[in-house]
Amino acid sequence: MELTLIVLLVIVLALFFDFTNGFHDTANAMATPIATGALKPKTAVLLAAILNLIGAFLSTEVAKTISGGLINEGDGGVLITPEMIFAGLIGAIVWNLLTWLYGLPSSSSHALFGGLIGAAIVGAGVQAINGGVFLSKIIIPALAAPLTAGLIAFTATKIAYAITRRHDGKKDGRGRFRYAQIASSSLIALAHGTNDAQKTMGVITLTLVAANMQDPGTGPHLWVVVACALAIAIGTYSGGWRIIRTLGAGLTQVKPAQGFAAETSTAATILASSHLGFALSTTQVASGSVIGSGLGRKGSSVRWRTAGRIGLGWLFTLPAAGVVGAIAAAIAHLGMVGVIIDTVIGFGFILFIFWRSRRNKVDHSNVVAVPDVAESGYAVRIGGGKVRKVPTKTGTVPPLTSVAQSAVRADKAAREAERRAAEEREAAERAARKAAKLAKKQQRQQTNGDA
Amino acid sequence: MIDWMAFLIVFVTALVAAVTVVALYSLGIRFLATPPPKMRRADGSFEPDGPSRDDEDDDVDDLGRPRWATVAAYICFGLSIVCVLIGIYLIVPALHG
Repeated sequence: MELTLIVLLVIVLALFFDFTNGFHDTANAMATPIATGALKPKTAVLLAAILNLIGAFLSTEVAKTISGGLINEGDGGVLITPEMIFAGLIGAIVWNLLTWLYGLPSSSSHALFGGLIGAAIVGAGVQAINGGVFLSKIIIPALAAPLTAGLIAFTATKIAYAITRRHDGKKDGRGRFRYAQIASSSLIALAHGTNDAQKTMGVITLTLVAANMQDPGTGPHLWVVVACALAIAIGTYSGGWRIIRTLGAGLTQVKPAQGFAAETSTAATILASSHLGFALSTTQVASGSVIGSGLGRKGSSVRWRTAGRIGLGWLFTLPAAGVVGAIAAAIAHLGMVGVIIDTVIGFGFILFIFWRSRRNKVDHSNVVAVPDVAESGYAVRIGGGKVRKVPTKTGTVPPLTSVAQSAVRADKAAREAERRAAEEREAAERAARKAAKLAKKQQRQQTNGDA
Repeated sequence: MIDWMAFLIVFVTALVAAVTVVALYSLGIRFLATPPPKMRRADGSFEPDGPSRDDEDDDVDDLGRPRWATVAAYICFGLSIVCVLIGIYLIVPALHG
């Protein structure tokens, strides 16, 4: 009976993790086409969601081990219990939500591995971790992914601009890169669906196997596939707007040719890495591509402060999710009571993050500033302009980027205008009522007088 | 422990693929922007060129583009589409087994 409850909790958490995975990674595919106006924000996330849904059904071959060899599983190693998976998922979800709140693109798989490692260390000690795999699967790729993608995107951007440059002063038609952007970003979204939904299917399937509810060696049940596909698609559709803003406007200003070069580099790198056996994180590849393409376009600048924040986020992803996973695992060791405490705290944290995110809401309407409205007269200052803190009702908006700030400013102006309009309307209504009353009074006096 | 050869192969493959696709599509755009043949003035000189510009949102004024340029552009775009199809082939496991 108890086993069934924990299995149920793991399934629910795994699906929620899948959801956060989806909205965390919408940005990888859709940040640049949104930034250049190739796709409207809502269209972009809808397209990404559909492609993720399709992708999830295309590939249902799940991994043999949950941790991909990071934890010494199986014979002579650690037995990964549903409690450990439960604690690991809590760690991964907490970190995914926290990085989302700060608009940082970070790898969901690293968060999952981190949470599991933390839980495994509490459960079985440090020897549970395979140090060699840790280095070759996490640390080295984390350095290699952005560098590789950055270099490729840099080269591709240079080439795109060199080829399309006209020396006779006539229009060069680079706006046409927008059409190609739709194709390249769709490829990334599709690839994401085939890769990432599979991870959650693996977690659920391996949990069911561990609980003796499924024969080992069999593929995921249909309901698992459907649930995972839906979770990642809904997550993608809800759009991690904060991360889209960081990737699409926070790192550098993206132009169509540059955006296409960045997306093509991302797609090429991911496909090459998944087919030639050197796994790289999609998120890290996408971020590297955007930076590389920013360096490759003449006249654009990369905001290294933001890049630094993202890098710091990557550095902390694994240990931070690990610490949370470890704490959750320690509490879960209390038995069923511990698991329930974990669930309550975890749920509270999720609510807290969503409540906190409402303070400075980012959604499809303000994800990137509409270039000709908010940025006119502002874009020119982007190069050397100082980024100031913007005071809001509940504190200050952290010095994100000038583009993001201009969006915030436009937001505030719109709200102010709305408020003023409402006030005016009210005043007008009041005046009208007064006038009507006065007229009635006069009429009555007149009739009285007549009488 | 770390398969540097695999990494190098991934890097080179991705670089070649990305550069090929971007170059193809860029060439297509450039072909579409081919200017009409220069006009010779009455005194035998050519019309002067304007100042260089890098505007991105400009649409091409495609009046007078030579026919071969249009054909070349469509060939480039067609090849780009082939690259996208290869991408889909690589993504969908059912297609390559």
